[in-house]
Amino acid sequence: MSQSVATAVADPLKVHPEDFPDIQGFILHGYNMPKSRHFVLTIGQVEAALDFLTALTSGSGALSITSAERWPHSQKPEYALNIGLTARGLEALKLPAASLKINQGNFSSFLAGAVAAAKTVGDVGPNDPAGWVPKLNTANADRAHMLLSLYTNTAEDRETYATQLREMFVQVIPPAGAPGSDVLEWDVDPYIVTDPVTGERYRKIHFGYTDGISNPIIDEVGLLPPRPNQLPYVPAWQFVTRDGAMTTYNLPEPLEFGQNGTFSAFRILEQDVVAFDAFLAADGRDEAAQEYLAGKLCGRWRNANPTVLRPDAPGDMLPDIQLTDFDYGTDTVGQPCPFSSHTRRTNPRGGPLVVSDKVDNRIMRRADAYGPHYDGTDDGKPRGLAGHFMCAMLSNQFEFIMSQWVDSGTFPGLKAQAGIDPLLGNVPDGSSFTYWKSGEPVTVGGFSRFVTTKGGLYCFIPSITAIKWMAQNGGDSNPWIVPPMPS
Amino acid sequence: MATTPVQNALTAIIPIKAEFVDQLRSQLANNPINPSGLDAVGTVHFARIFVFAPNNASGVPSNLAAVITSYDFDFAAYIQAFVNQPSVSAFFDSFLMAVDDPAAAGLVPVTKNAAGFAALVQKYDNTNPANSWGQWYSAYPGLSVQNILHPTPTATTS
Repeated sequence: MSQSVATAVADPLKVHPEDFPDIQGFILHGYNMPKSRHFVLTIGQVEAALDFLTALTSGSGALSITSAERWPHSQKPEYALNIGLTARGLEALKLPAASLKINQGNFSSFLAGAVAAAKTVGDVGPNDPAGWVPKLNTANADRAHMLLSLYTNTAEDRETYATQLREMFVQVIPPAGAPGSDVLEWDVDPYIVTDPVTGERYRKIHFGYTDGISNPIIDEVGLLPPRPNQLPYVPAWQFVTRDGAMTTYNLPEPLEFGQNGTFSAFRILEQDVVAFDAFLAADGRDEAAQEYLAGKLCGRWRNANPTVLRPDAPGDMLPDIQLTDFDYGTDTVGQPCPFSSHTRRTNPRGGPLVVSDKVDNRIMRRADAYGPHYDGTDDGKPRGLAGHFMCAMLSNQFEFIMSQWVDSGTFPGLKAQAGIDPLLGNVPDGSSFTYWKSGEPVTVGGFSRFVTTKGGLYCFIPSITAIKWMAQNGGDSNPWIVPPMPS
Repeated sequence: MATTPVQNALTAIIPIKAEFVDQLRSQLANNPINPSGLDAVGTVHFARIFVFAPNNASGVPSNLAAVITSYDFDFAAYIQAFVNQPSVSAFFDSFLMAVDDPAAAGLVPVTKNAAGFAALVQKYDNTNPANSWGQWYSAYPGLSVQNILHPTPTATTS
């Protein structure tokens, strides 16, 4: 990319094509590559880490960071690679305190880390960070410094490029046996089904729902005007760190570091599919009744059709634009889409009774299913969803959704209607859920959480320029340190 | 009806620089926050903002401003939505310049410093629910502004 793009103040409202080479690819575009592996490692040797960053951005290494540049002829490469750094990771790079400024008020969540945010986002009780995977848990979180996300088209390529990546970072991590020498490697293998008629391929999460339907669309030069019922495009600054009068944060400094990045809540969420299926089948529900309840719990039928458009039964899968271009209209009672349903909780679409407009508080999800496909047999194997939930301000976007919409029942209505997102929330034992059937509200109860947090990590996803800046300026004798958090 | 309280109270008594007292009093009288901005927030039940009058019977110094409100949900979580309203941010940008606190002016523009603004206001909050002194009463503690504006029917249990 040209030097002028990296050092000039970018448009806060729109992403321009000339920005693409500076922005990590998965912020703007989902790769739709079916195999991925996330690596979490500790920076044990600063100079080696700086060399690693240089290799990832100079083309001198076996692998390079993937930017948002369009792929020629839309031909996918064999791999894509992206990188994030925790606040402790930035500290470990010994970046210069004289120039690095990260506003504590705006980015306190990132600076304090995912473990500190546990209470805010519902990671309490069985979700408590003490019980997370060892690399990320309470005892070790301060040594989780760098997250590398590798995406490939085939399992063979994943092994090939993972091997090369390990060879690149082997000098970065502490020596074998030292604290932090372990590397977390987490594979993600979405279950993909092919429509026998159209040949289209869809991802399914373990609960059986079609996945990957709706993400915010960041405003970008050249986009067509929004369709009549399409959600508005989201201004760039909400997902790509930019400076401007309208932003809700002070851009981290210097510009080379702060601009064109984003933040990510990396999550590992274990799904109890056996318990979910048992709940659906309880009270003697037949198959049709189970599907009805499953649709209402999610706000989408398992074929992805929104219940607000198909209130009584799934029907044939709607065209793509109808899967995304809808709103909750004047529905103030949760019919046909319950207020507690997962899709309504995580994206209320500016519906009535919700304190938000249509573009505030959104997150960009780059997560997929891990673990073996569930075939209805209780095999005892862990399975769930893992990946990135990205946004420019974790407190206003990711944490707001989790605390105010998913977990705390601040939606209006009856307690059951206003309760907790049944598919994602930290649902207490004996919870209830209200939906409508045949014109009457019905409450079903006696369920508990179906999802348990097994890992979390807050990362800064820097621009390509920022990675180069860190590589060139790390190892400073007066290093930046994570500021103490107010008690 | 939900019984868990969703409402909270704020009683912030905030020092104002002497040279800004008359200006702030005038602003509150002539150019207060546009109510449509507070309507758009959707979580504020009631709000009163005033500067204590000179020589008031209570003997409260007239360089103190009061921000007294009943609101829904978590103060810090919704402060950004609050200051994102242009009429709200315009008022508090001006208000902060008048506040006699070394941190206040650095919080302008308030839209970019919502967390710091929340911390400043809470610093001067005398409601102090954490220590549970005094009394707070609501006839409908489980109802949010939105519940009241848009009541919902009763569910049956299957």
